[in-house]
This record gives sequence, C-alpha cells and structure tokens, in this order.
Amino acid sequence: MKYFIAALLALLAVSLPDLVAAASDALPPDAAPQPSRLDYPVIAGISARSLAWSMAQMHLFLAAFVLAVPLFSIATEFMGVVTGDDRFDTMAREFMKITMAAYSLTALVGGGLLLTLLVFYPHLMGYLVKVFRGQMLIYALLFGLESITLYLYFYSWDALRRGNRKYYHMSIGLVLNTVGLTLMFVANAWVSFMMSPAGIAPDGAITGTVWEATRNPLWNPLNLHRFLANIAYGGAIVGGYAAYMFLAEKDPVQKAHYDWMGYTSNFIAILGFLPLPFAGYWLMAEIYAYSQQMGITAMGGILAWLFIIQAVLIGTIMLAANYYLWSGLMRTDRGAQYGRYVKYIAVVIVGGFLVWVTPHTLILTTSEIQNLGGTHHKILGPLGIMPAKNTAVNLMLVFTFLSFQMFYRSSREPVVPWAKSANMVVVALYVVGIANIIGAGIYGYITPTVYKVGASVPQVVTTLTIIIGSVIIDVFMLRGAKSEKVHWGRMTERSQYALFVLPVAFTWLMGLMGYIRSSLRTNWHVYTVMKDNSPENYIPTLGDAGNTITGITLAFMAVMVFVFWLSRLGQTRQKNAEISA
Amino acid sequence: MTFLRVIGFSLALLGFYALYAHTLPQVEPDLSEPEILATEGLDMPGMIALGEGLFTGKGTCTLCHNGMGRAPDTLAMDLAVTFPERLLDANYSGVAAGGDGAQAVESYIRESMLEPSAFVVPGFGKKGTNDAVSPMPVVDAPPIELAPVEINAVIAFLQDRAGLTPTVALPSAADTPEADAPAADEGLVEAPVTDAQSALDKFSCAACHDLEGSGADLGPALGGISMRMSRAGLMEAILDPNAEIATGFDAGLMPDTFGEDMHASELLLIVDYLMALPAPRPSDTPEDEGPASDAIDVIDAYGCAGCHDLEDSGADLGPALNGISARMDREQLITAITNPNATIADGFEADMMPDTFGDDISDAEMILLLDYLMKLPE
Repeated sequence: MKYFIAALLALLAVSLPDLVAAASDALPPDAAPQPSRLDYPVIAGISARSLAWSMAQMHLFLAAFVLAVPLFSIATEFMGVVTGDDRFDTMAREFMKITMAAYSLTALVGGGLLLTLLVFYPHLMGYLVKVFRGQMLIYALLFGLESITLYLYFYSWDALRRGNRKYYHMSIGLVLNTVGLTLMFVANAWVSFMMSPAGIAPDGAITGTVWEATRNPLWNPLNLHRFLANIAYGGAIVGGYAAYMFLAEKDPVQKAHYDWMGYTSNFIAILGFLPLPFAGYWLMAEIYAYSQQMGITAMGGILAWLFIIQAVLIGTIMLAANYYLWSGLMRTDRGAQYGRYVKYIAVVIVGGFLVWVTPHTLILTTSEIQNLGGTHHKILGPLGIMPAKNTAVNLMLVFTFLSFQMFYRSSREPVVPWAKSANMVVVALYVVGIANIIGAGIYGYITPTVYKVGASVPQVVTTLTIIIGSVIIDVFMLRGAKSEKVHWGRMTERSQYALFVLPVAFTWLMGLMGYIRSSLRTNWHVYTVMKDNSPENYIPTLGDAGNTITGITLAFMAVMVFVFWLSRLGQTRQKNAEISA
Repeated sequence: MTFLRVIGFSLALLGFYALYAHTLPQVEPDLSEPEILATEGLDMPGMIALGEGLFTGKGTCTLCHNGMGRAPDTLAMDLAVTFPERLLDANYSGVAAGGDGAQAVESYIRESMLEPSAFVVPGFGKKGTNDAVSPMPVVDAPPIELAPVEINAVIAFLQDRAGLTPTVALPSAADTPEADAPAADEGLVEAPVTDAQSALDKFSCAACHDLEGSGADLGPALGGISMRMSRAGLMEAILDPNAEIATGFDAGLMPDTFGEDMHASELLLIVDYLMALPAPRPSDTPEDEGPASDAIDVIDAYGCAGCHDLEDSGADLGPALNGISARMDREQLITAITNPNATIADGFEADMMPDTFGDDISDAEMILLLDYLMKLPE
C-alpha cells in the first residue's frame, strides 16, 4: 500500500508544475494542428464519429450514475444518523451495491472511449494532451483514488456501521464524493475547452497555464449543470430499479421497502431536477455571452427543432413525476382530501408543457413563411419567446413542488395553535408568488430584449422563495405533528410505470443534450481553433441523431439490467435441496 | 412476465421518442465541399449580388442582424439615413468619424466588420460592458472567415442598399479565395469564354432547360426567368441548384459544381443574358400563329403561373390567383395586371411583376384572361 501511495505522490509531483506554469518559453508555441481529410484514419469502414459518439455517451451515462449514487448515498446515510431510522442506512448500502457493479463497466467503457479517440482522432487528442499536459496524469491519479475510496466505502459499511465508527465511514464517503466530483470537473474542462477555448492564441498555440485552459468560459456552467443533472439522473435510475423490485416482489414487507425506496429516489430525482432549468439557462446565457453566433445556432438556428423534443422529454418527466406523487396520496388515509386539487395541478403542468413546446424561431421556407403569414405564428408566436417559457417552467416547478408538499402533509396533522395562520401564509405565498411570476412574464414582453433575460431573475427568485418559504413554515408547523400511518406498498402497479418513464426519458434527454452540445461546435474540434475536417464533420439530422441516441439508450438499458441482475445475484443463495443433491 | 412488461413499456417509450425525432423537419447536413467562387472579372452588380448572398449565407450576418433585437436590423433600416448618422455620432471616433460620402461609409462598414467594438450601437453591446464591447465576431477570423474580396462584396451590397455607388475595388484573379485542400489534379484552369452564347454552350444549359426553343424539360424553361426570380436568386440557383427546387422538377438533377467550374465572368455573362431573355410569346412557338386562342395559352404565354399559385402551381412570388374574384373586381384586376405596382397585396413586394403587360397583352388576350381568372374557384 505504501508503495502505491508513494507512486501516486510521485505522479502528483511530476504533473503538478504543469498546472500552474505557462507553456515553455524556450520554443515558440506551435499552432493547433489542422489535419486534412486524408489525415483521419479510415479503418474497416467503421464510422469513427458514431463509434466515438456511442462510447462517449455510454461512458457519460455510466459515469453520471456512479458519481451521483454515492452523492445521495451519503446524504441518505446522514439522514439515517439524524433520524435514527435504520431503513435509510440499509437503503444507502443498497444504492452502493448497485454502483459497485456499474463502476468497473464505467472504467471499461472509458478505456474504450480513450482508445477510440486515440485511433480515430489522433491529432485532436495530441493537441488536447499538449494543452492539458499534467492534468491528464492527475486525472489518472484521481481515478485510482476514486477506486480505492469506493471499495473502502462499500466494503467497510458493516464494519463501521454503529457508534462513532459511523462518522469514520461517512468521512470515507465524503472523500469518495470529493474525488468523484473533481474527476467530473476535470473531464468537463476538456469538453468545455473544445467549445470555448481559453489560454491559447487565436491559432491554437498554447500561451497560458493549464488552469487558464481549465477555467474557460463554459466550465463552471457545465459543472453546475452536470452536477445537478447527475443527481436527478441517479435518482431516476435507482427509482426505476425500486419500481421493478416493487412489481417483482410478492412479500408485502419487501414491497413496502421498495415502495419507500422508489418514493425516496423520486424525491431525490425531483430535488436535482427542480433547479436544473435554471442551471440550463445559465449555461445558455454563458454560451450567448461567449459567442452569440453559437447561442443562436442552438436556439434559433439549425438546432432549434431539437428543443421541441427537449420540451417533450421534460414534459414527460414532469408529468410522470407528478403522476407518481399524486398516486402516492393513496398511501395515507388523509391523502384523498388533497386529491381534489390534482386536476388543477394537472392543467397547469400540461398548459406549461404546451407553452414550452411552442417554437419561436425556426428555419422556414418561403412558402412556409407565406402560409404562416410571417416568420412567427400570429397567435402562438408570442408563446415561443423566453418570457412565456420562463413563466411556464417556473409555474411547472412551483406546482410540482405543491404535489410533493401535498403528499408530505397528507401523513401529518399539525397540532400547533397557529397552524391555520401558517396555512394562510403558505397560501398567500403561493398566490402572490404565482402572480409575481406571471407579472414578471408579462413585463418580459414589454421590455427590450436585453432586459428580457433579466426579467427571468425575479421569477426564479420567486419560485425559490415559494419553495424555501413553504419548507420552513412546514418544518415548524409540523413539528410534533400527529403522524398518520403511511401505508408503504399501497400503490398501484400503474404508478410504478411512472418511475420507469423517468430513467428512460432522462437517459434519452441526456443523449439529446450531448448531441446538441457537440453540434454547437459545428465543424470544429476546438471551436474557432482546430477544424474538424473528418468525413463526418457535419451535424447529423434530428432523425439520424434520434436513431443513434435510441440505440445508445437501449444499450445502456441492457447494461443496467445486467448490473441490477448482478447485484441481485450477490444475494442469491443456493437452495438447501440443491446442496444436498 | 413483469420483466417483459417493463422492457416492453420502456421500448415503446423509446420508440415514441425516436419516431418523434423523425416527424420533425430534418435539416439535412451540407455535405458539399466548400464552394470556391473564382471572383476575377466580377463586375460591381456581381459584387453586390455576391455580397447579398454572403450577408444571408456564409457571413451569417442575418443570424443576429434581424428583427429579433440582438443586433441592428440592417436589412430593415434605411441605410441612406443610418450611415450618415453613425459617421456623425458623437460617440464614434473610428477611422471614418465625421466623414461623408461613399468612401467614408466603406471605411465605417469595414471597420465595423473587422473591429466591431470600435463603435457599438447603444443597447447592442455585450451584457455588462455598458456598450463598450460588441458581441459581433470579427468576420475575417474563425468561425466566419470571410476573405478580403468577400468583405468587399458585403460592403458593396450595403453601400448599394444605402443608395451609394460602391467604392470597393473590383476583384482580380489574386483575390479568389483559396480552397482548403486543392485536389492533386487541379493544375490547369481552363480560360474563360467571353460571350454569353459560348458560356451557355460550355455549360450545356439548353440540354436540360428550354432555352429559345431547345424544348428540353428536365429543368424549368429559361425564357422570362427575370419575371420569376431576382438576379441574385438566379445566381444562387446556378451555384446552389438544390437550395430551392421549382415545382414539378426534381432535386439533384442539376450539377452543383458550377461554383467551382465557372469563372465569375462566365457566371455574369450567363446571368445577364438570361435576365434579359423575354418570356416566350405565342408567336415564338411554331404551331401558334398570332395571339393565344384560349385563356390557358395566354397564361402559359405570359408565365402567370411562374409567380402566382394557379391550380396548385405552388408559385409564391405573387398572390394566389384562385379565388381572386373574391378579392377584387374586374376593373381592379385589369389595373393589377397593367399597373402591378399601383397596389401591392399584403406580404408581397413591389417591383416583382413586370409592368409591361399593358403593352404586351392584346385586348383579345386580356378578355380571355380576365374571363378565366374571374371564374376561378377558391
């Protein structure tokens, strides 16, 4: 072990100077390579882009999962310590068991991706290695640390489960998550550098430090977006697992356990999902700030139709998550009294979805423009611009939170004397907040474009105020509340299918977002610096991309089925009758 | 069984997403090699046409310079008023500050393309810079990479729109942008022909298009093409023939290599010749002796369906003719034919329809035409 640590330290010592020192001044810096079409290897008719795309996306799916699950595993473990409820601890361990099986597959696919890139895009990889120098060694080192801490965290679970030892265990979990997130941030630096290069001259010659290249304009927005998306994604996948187990189990105790697991996973997925649109807006705002042309390519140019699919996917996710929460009202005896509100929430969610799905700027032919009577539809056109979409998404988020709040309250009856007043404050918070969101949306129509984005800030703040304000009031109001029994397991089978919608839609959505992120570079490996002259340097059509994304999603689903089966296999014991035979 | 149900459900959902992606409009990738137009010999109208194409095409100017408010809507502005205002703007201290005339405007436009932050129109600066930094990319740098001759063409186009005589230099052979990777066998360049007929012969236009009685029908007839498209549109139709396909014809038939094969002077010769080509008259066809004998012949003779949607011809440069009696009476229709710019229908542009029909169409033909059009159903 000590030799291993010494080797890691030596690696760190070798690679660290590169992170802070600028490129050597001894020689004039080389411009980025500009390979011609003939410089790209053609091997056995393999589509290099399809292979790299598939490997990268599969690696990302798996990596997102194995990074996210330890995050909410430690959060769940912490909940177990705080509440003293052993179910949390058991569930956190079960989360990790699934991760263990997926971890080696993540590394395997990552290796495959690296090999694909080295073989088919050697010039690009050579250039990126020059730009990021020692950071790539640090990445390898972190990967080693991630493996060690992951194994330690999982295998020491029972040994460090009780008493003060639990804190040692959680500390290992903290290290694991810190290393995991750092790994993701490092990888994000490479892909965001390809979109918004920094620390280099216009011809690609390296002039700055690795840190300058890392801290490129899109790095932090991408970090935040992926961090939140990973949490939502991990929750959705585990929720799918819990739903399957719920359907497959006959034992009521086990069924109740997996119902609870599904509920918690859905809660985590929604928790990660609620702030995601805001992170997405920040990312897109930074893309516009970096290159208006790149932003318009995404939102109003050749990729604009893609956001219609994105809206459909997010709409599916919202509806499924809400449907699951509404179904959950039947777990408690008081749940029915909240059921009458469901139809109104459904109207808002569907209405918001329809606004979100309304396009604004699209590429139209002359005859389409004439048929439409202009470049935008006279009635629906105004719903396509950002003020309408911001209003829609904020209302959808507020009402999704309301669905969750209804379930939470359905099992608790407040006993404090000021409960009625507190409820009035909550109602006022919702009413005033919703009015403010709609008002700010209307203001967005009458203000110049540059202030339109600014108008979305009070909307976001209002949404967060409603959510945080309601949570604070509920926490105090429901302290010592009369608890109603929650009948875990009292759920319809149909509701569990809503939990399958989430991982399928999330996975497809992530694939779609990967397609658009890469397409934004158009025919550049490194935007404006290194041209992609490969035979497949064009943006594929939406249909072709849809086929590829569906194929990768199918492959990922197959891998996850294998992973879940593997984790169950570990629990299966040979029957006594078989042993004696 | 549960496993199969879950898998089936997930597959159905995946199938829906994949299918949905196919139902949306598919933006086909441009797989053609970068078009290198040999610009030597290009005259000023050609430069203006090239500039217009660059403004809406490779230059990607209209991505931001449109009515969306991200950048001044250049094409909607009265540039004859805007440019002098900019030159005299107290906040402008660039190379053309205080200047006057076409030369100063050229300097101003060139500077705004190469140093966009030299003057930022109030309200259009990068967020947080107080209009000190322009979000516009430098046009000769990646990703736009306009060549010097292309920048000149855009300037010529904008000067022309401002009612000024373009002052940019006309291109020479040395100005032709270089291809990224010239083919190995691309050594000798064939010398350009010097007259329109030779150019039309060289590129075998009449083999596919009906041209002065050639009778070919693989592509639209070329007679009267100036009534169906603008000069710039014709240039684009030659250089990028699949961008827009005329109703009733197939895509992919016309070679898309003329941009590389044609000298600019040859392109100009062909375009000038075709734009001057009159519409085939009844007398042009041997079997017709005298004026058209029925309404359909009149419509064919004057190419009405080339611009107006008539019985699903699909043309959309002018208003549809079906149901026209519901929109105007007989007298108004006569005025619309003989003096087309007197009133322009909503959504259409002036000066698109020739104003010579009053002289060209005989009284008998006019009666046939009016009788037919006024009875056309919706």
